[in-house]
Amino acid sequence: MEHRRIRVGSIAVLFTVVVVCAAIFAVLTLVTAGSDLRTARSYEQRVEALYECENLGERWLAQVSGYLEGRQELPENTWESGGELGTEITLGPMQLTARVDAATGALLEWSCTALWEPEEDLDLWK
Amino acid sequence: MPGAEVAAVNGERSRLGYLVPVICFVAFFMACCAVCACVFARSAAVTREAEHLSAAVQLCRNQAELCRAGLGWEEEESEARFDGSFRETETGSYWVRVKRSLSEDGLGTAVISAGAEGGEALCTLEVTVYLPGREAQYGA
Repeated sequence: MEHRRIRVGSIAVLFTVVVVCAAIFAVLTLVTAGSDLRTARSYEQRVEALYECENLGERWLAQVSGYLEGRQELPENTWESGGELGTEITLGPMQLTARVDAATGALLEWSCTALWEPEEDLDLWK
Repeated sequence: MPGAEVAAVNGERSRLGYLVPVICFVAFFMACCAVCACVFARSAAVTREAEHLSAAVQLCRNQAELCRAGLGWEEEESEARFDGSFRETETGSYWVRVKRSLSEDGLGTAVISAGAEGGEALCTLEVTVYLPGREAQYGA
């Protein structure tokens, strides 16, 4: 009995290599695009959190100005020391620190930073 | 002649025997290329979406900083167009809309939205600014 052999030839090997390379590049491109989109969304969330925290600081500033003018009471979460009024507002990953001169109402400090905890597992400075 | 007929049939069978695997392989190759092309097209769409989102967020942030610097509060609503380099142009591919309101306690609120041309808002920011001494020109 004759056994038929399917001969593929060198061109089939070339086609296979091309398909494998194209598939790998396609997957890499898709993964990179997904990573770009995740980065953009993360940036959007960070910016929204930043401005939410800063908005609370601006409202505090308005309340402190009202207090210094005698129109309002001292806002909550406000400390008074050494002729200064200050506050620390924490909202999500952001923390705002602000200080105002109690006599003139001039802004002395306005610092909005992101809270983070350093990783102690990696000892990089050995 | 029976011998000639058998030889002709065997010749035809060997041609078919050669072409069928080649045709199958070429069809499989074209199918794989079509799938890869679809994946590349999807990647391009996702990259474009990420680019638009990043640009919208940056434009909102730029406008928010202008508002916090006390600029532009004379108008209640404004709209501007920007190109990909964030330069203001009349035919830019991104739009930015700002709606402002001033209250009597000196707090100004600006709602800033930005998006790509012909599309919905991709990013919306609300900015509150303390503007002492500025009268309430429009309602809160």
